Amino acid sequence: MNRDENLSTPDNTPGDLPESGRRRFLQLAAASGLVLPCGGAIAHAATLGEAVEEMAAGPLWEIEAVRVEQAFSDGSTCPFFRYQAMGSTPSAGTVPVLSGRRGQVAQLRVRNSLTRGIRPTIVGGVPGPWIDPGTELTFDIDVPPMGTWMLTDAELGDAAGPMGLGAVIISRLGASISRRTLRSIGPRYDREYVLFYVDSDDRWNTAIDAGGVPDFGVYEPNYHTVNNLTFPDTAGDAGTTIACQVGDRVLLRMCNLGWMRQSVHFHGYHVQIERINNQRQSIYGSKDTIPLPGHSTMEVLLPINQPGIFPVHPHSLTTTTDNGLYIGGQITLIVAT
Amino acid sequence: MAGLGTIVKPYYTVVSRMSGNQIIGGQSVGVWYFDRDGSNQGFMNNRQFPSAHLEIIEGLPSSVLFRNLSPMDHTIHLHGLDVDQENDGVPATSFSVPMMGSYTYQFLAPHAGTYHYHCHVDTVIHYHRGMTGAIIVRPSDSAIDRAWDGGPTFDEEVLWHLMTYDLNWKDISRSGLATARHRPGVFMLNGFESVQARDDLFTRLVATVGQRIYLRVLNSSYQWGRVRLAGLPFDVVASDGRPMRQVVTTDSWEIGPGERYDLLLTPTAPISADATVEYLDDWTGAVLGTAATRLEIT
Ligand SMILES: [Cu+2]
Ligand SMILES: [Cu+2]
Repeated sequence: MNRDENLSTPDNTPGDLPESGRRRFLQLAAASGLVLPCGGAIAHAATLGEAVEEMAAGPLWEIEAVRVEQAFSDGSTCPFFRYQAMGSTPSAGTVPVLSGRRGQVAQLRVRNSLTRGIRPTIVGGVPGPWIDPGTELTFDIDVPPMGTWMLTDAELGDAAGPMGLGAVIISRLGASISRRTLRSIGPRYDREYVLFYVDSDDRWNTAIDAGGVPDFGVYEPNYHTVNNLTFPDTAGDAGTTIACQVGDRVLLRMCNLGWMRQSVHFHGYHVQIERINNQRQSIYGSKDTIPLPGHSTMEVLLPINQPGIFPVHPHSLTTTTDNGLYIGGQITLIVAT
Repeated sequence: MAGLGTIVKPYYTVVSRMSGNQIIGGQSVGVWYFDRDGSNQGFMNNRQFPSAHLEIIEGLPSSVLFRNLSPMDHTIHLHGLDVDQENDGVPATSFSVPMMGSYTYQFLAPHAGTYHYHCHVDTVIHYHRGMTGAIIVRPSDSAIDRAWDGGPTFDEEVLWHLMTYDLNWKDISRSGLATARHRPGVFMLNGFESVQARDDLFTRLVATVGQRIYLRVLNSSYQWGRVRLAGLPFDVVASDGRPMRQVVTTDSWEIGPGERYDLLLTPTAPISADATVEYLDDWTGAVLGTAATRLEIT
């Protein structure tokens, strides 16, 4: 019997925290003195595209490009351009997670609510069609080979990441094979989460927001988000807090749309890097701190061999601040019961 | 063995000090550090930046009695040792140790290898000021000439902390707008710039032809570091306390913040040259600065 068949709730959507687990997290958090975000915390259930994925003809992905002025814990704000979920598109934090099967053709419907044109494009792929500001376009897009991909904007070029204009695409195996298999012959996993990292230099974002051009020679990011959130809002988001149980093997789809060359540390656990930019890796053994280059994705298996609440964060430690103020930034939590 | 292997035991007392001093970038800089067993010194008992290192034994219940004799809260995070939540040293998920307080961190020493510990209070500041040290886990038989049970043996062993410093941060005690950007101007190995690191007994690589040098590298800076051993090929044999799935033979290796790599160098000819660490800019990949020490093979 394989691991997948042992799951008591095989259709439990990945990343979806059952109510009992949510209560348990709150208890653990309270017991540990963890500060939870008050009011207005974003708590989307991350259903990671299961609903749209079931459509036989290929999924319909609906997103909207918007401008957001985000407030941070130090009292500062910074402008971002973001894709946000439209209609039934699920999300992690506020990042749309678009799911399909390899070989499918997806329909991508994009409403551009920015005041500038965009070209939605898969990172590493050919630039997509131009979409005028204030208009909407639906076009076909091939679901990429199995793995974890990012959608961004070719028009902004190198600045698209810092501006935050991104979504995650998950390409799964064909319909006849279990969804919870990373490749056709194992390994299997019990739950999955998306962690989407963006770093931003407010001087770039402010210049672009004003219609100008930043100084591309200097990039010193001072805002650092996971799933478009910073700690402790990350801890209040069900798609960003890695809720799991002892014995689970959790798949993390780590996406870095930023330009920082991250080195992400896991408290409490060693993890196994499975694939980097959708290429199988066979060099690293188990590690507690993993290299995640800019504009790259990585699939990581996290074996939960002890209970507890443990942070996950990049170790270039300005990333754990909001504009310099600790604690904030790209810290999220593993909550293992 | 360059200061390593002299004290190997499962328990330590570690004391936090905020009154340290070290010359960094030509300036007298107030540093914060952890000493070992109350020695009032940091790394190798002869400098206060970075912190002292600890050597423990795989498989043994181990403890670090932390005494906070400094006027701020601190913790000890046992980075990579996969300890339980209570002993993880993260204020948000456990607790911090107040001034004049103490706590005994308890854990089972994991697989032999190179690990890390540091304060996790206002981490961006406390870490940069020097509250960062290495932990070596020796094999279960306490051997000091073998990397792990069944792992490679060696004749010489050296520990490197990769470190960079932003002198604009030197008097800052609390994070905030002034720590939004880390612009390193000083590039170090084990707390020393090249001029001192070249001849530092605890940093330089000295051996005879055919000897095996085991180099444990901990990147405790905020930038990536590229290690070169004067162009000589070396084996990357372990990382983060575990063997590599595949040993990589190379003449250059890049190490991210918080990562550890164990490198095995077996020189086949005499050489006198610089071994270097180049610190890299995330965005451009450019070399921001270099720290060098002597590689002397006779
Ligand atoms: Cu501290
Ligand atoms: Cu750490």
